[in-house]
Amino acid sequence: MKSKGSPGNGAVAAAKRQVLDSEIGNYSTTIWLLGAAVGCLLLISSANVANLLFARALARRREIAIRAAMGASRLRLMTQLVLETLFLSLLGAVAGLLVAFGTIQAIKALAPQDQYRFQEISVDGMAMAFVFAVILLTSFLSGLLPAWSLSNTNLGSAVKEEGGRTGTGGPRRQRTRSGLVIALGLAALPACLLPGLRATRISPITALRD
Amino acid sequence: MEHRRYTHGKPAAVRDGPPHRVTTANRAPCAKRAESVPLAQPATSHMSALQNIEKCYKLKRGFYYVLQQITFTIEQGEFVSIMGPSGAGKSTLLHILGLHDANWEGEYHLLGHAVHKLPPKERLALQKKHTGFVFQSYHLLDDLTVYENIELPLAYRDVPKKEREAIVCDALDRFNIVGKRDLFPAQLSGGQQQLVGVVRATVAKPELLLADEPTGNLHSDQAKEIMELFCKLNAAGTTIVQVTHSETNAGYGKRIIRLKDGWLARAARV
Repeated sequence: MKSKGSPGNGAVAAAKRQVLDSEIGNYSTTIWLLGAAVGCLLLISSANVANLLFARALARRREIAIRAAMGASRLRLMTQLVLETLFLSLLGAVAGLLVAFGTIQAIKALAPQDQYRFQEISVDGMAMAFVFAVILLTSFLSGLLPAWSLSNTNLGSAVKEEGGRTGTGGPRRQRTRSGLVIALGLAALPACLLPGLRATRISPITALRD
Repeated sequence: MEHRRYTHGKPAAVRDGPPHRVTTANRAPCAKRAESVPLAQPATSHMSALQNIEKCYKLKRGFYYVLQQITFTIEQGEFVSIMGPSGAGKSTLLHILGLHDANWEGEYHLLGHAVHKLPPKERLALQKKHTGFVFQSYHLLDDLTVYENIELPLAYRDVPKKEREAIVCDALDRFNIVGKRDLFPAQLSGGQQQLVGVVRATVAKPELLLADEPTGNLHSDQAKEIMELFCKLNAAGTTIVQVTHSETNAGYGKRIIRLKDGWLARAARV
């Protein structure tokens, strides 16, 4: 039973919020901007990995064309490419997670011990699920696209093209690569702008402190 | 002349033919015989029957014709050589015959099957069942051994593993390359690579073997070996169509089909 004069739930919550605001209030916008910058960084990395996987798959166009000429169906080729890129991506993801865990431990060890809730920082399940979802999507698309594009062209010209009769890739291939580079640039732009925004927000506070 | 191959109209609008086109009257008798076969009801004795095959690319200037009004038949058990200058459309025609290319117009019957009416899945099934292809640049898969390269067409035909082993070992033995089975293509000479290419193309026992300049990258002695191998395969009943620039190699065949600027120039018995 609530005693007379004791603060109600609402009052406790308000007090908690006040404490929380006093601790992290000044940093909430910064944290959000930092999160957005990290998101952009993840996008850049994904586009970069997709570009690399796509380039790898394109380099294997000759192999894909030969396999198709030997009788491999479109589904079989797609399955092979997607599974191969998925395997590579998962290896990368596991290695990335190990690096992330190690880095967080190192940062925690180096950071001041009295920093509020700093020691609670970790890679949570949500973040891991998000990273694996991005990896699945990236590897699926980068594995699927080359097999799909080859299955829509004729094998004769694909084999000729990869057999050294033409010096550079066809226009379609050039367009795909250009598209990936543009996507990379677009993803990099906010990542460049966000730290700038963060700096402008922090600078008046720093000025006041000084 | 290249400009004759361009037209600004729709593909079907081009039917006049270039000045150099050989008419029925001045064709060689054998050519007349070869091209006067009625194709409305394709006879199953024909390996391949092509009627008015045309292929073009849409460019800014208009349609560029690679092949125009190609009509001829290839009988079962024949050994045909396709000749002509570079850019005449020989390889394109060969890839159409091998069902690697689906973007063309006209009628093509392969062993009585109307290829022009078939959906992609059935074309692939027909390709797998009846054709084998030998490439000029061998096109072996670099990261697979000789054994695995030869096994590939059988794997795509869902032949059980034990059966595949028996077939590949038999092929290695027949072509005297048992000692090379675990080597990678980079460890073989050009002639040996092409031999593996021929074994790979024939391992699934196709009725129609297509070869795109099979000796183009080979020394004359190695070329002779490959051509003699083709003669043996032909004698065993395999229909062979090869693209070649060499009159000597064409001489191994029974008939020569000549192309020029995408048109059928003439056909002649060897």
